[in-house]
Amino acid sequence: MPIRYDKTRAVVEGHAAVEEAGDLAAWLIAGAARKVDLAACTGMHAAVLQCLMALTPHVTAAPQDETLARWLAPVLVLPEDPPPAKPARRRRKVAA
Amino acid sequence: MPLKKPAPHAPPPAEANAEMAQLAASFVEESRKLLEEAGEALLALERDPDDGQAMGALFRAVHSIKGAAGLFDLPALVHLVHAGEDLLGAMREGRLRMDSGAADALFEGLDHVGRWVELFAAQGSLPPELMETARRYAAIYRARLAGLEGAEGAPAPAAAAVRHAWADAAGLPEGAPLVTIEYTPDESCFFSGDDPLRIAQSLPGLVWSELAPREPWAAPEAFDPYVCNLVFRLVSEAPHSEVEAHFRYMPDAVTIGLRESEPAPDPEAPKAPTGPLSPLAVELIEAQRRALAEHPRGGAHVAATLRNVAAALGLPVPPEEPAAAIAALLATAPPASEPEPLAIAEGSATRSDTPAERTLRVEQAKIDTLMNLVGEMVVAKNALPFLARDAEARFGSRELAREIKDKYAVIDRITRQLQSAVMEVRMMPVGDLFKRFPRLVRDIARKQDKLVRLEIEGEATEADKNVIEALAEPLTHILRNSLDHGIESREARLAAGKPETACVRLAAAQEADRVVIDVTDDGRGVDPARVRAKAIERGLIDEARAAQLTDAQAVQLVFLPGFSTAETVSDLSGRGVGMDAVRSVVERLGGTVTLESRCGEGTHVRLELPLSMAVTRVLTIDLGGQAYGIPIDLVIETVKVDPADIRRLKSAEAIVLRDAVIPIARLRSLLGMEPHPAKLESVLILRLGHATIGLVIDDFGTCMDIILKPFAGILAHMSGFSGSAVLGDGRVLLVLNLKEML
Repeated sequence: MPIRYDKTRAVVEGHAAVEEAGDLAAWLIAGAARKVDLAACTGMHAAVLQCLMALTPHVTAAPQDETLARWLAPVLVLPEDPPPAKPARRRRKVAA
Repeated sequence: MPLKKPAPHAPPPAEANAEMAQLAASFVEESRKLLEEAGEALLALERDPDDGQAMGALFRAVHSIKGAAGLFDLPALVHLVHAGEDLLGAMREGRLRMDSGAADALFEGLDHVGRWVELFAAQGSLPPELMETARRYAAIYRARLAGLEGAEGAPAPAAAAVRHAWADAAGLPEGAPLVTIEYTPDESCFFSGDDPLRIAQSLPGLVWSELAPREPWAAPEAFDPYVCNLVFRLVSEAPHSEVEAHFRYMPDAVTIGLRESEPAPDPEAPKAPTGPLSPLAVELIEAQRRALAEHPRGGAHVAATLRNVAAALGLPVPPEEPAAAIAALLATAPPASEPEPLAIAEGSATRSDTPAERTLRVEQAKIDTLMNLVGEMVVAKNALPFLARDAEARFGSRELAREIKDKYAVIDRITRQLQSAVMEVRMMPVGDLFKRFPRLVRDIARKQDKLVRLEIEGEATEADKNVIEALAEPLTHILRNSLDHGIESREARLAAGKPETACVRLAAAQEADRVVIDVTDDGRGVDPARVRAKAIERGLIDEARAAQLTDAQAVQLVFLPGFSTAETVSDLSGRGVGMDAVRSVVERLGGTVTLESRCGEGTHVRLELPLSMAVTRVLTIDLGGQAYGIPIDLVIETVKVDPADIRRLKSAEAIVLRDAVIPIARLRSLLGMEPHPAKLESVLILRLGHATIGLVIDDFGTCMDIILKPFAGILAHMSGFSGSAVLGDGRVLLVLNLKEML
């Protein structure tokens, strides 16, 4: 199971496949303060990426995988840049 | 390019072999269908080169054939189809226009592919010398492309015209030409197993990327994670052709531009090593990946597939481990992509959730077996009333007899339903048959430099598969005759005040339990005088009789065996077998063919056939203690006649029935039996074609439905009979072919 759901945090491990997107979206929509941990994530399907872009959950840990991190950095707010942590909680219309 | 390397086969498990055979069978089946679709689309395109839908259909069909063929060791086929696809790709992008020359080349290519697929179906492999043919056609296609693009491999000038404004603003390094790509995946692309992110990540020579939502994100409540709302802007330093190859599967979703600037690789951008693969290989592997994704258990084929792909490309044969081999071949991707085929299979598992058409493909042989079994069931069932009679008469058990009759009624009902269900399965629309004619008409018309429009109506009309299939030959003959003899040359048409483009109409309709097919043309029609002259010349009829014939009757002479009006034997028709062959096929099917012609205005050929040949209704007759069957549709009435009322006119006999003289024949003498004088002669009044005739028999029987089985083996050529059927009590009923006898 590439995504493990804690109370308020989803931990993505390995490659998040397309089927995960539905669950993830539903889970993120259900609670506004829910967070995502991508540390162990090695790759994700575009549908999963879309969820993160559209629902802008707070990302608690950036992927350790450098290539993935490089792809995600421009479109998600990754924790390496501390200031955007707050606005991340608000749903923005367009990702940066 | 080495054609085929003797791949070191690890003894594959029997299961994998069986699976491969199954794959091959479905590939053949699918390719046939795709080739048919491609042919249709090509025809449509030739008529209207701007028909975008047909272009798309043609491209898709050709593309699918190529993708599926990659699974097998078919280098020649893949090579040819690939070249054709390149040509079509250029046409689709509007860089090249479809003309009849290109259509001819493509048609010939399709024909070759069709033959090769059949060859593959029969032998499981293709002879290596076919590669020569493939190369020849590939060269033809490439020549057309080269005329467009200048040198092979040079970037297309039209493509260079696409310029992405964002590329200028992106602060790209200046330098060697870069390819800019705007990739907007289809909204529903997730359902077809695509992962746009991975496709973008694995772009060869990727130097810069940007990812954005296509439209502002919807409110969280309305957000649908499975509607793709992404747009990728990518820049690659790989050659244009390679980039195009990468996005070959989603050409509608990408625009590819060219940017001449100085390169200085962006350190921030993910850098991918440029793979050693040619675009063809990348594409093939992509096709394999898709094929694998469709078969969740596909891992077993990977090794074989890879070997074939590698062999087709002349690459070193990859190692045995499929996962490692795929990973090595797809190593152009950054590590974030899925390295293992199994992961890919998982990734596209949603594919099976998309609603699919609920149809089942069944081999015809299986349906035929089912039909035969139903036939036997009908015969076995018919034995029950005899059993009931026996129970009562011989064993004196009326109760048992009644119970058997009760059970018989139940079985009878079920059998009837079963029979009609199976018949329904066997019904197919005539459209399936008509599909082949546009191509035929096109080819003939082009060869003769005539302009012909084929109109098809009533494709949805259904009839038994056997009837439909048996009609292919006769209809081909009729259409060829129409085009060859009927339709005049363009000049002659204009001189006669007709439109330059001739019209041939092919229409099917159902009338009661018969299917009627009309072939009408607006050509010169059949000239009765010429037909008479020809028939006399060929010794088919003498002058006196020819002169007696009305024009309408004279026209019917074309149905006589050995008649041909063509002055020279062309390769189209005119071998003197045309209409005669048509009539004999149609009549064997229990149908009729009529021809009407108006000189100078056109010809109308009408075929009437039974919807189904499975069940025949016959009247049984008794002759010397043996039962014979006569198709009921021939019988007008049955009469008993006093022998004294039979008039003798020289050697012929006739009776007068309601003031009409009806010639009669005696079945006994026709079958070489002794005459059998009776107090009252039983006479069947039959209609054969346009003639009415009486047939003297011993006695009438009853009407019954039978499953007529044509004679097989050494009895196959027995004349006078159209077949046999087994009766409920086990007796054999011979069905007479009266048209042949009288």
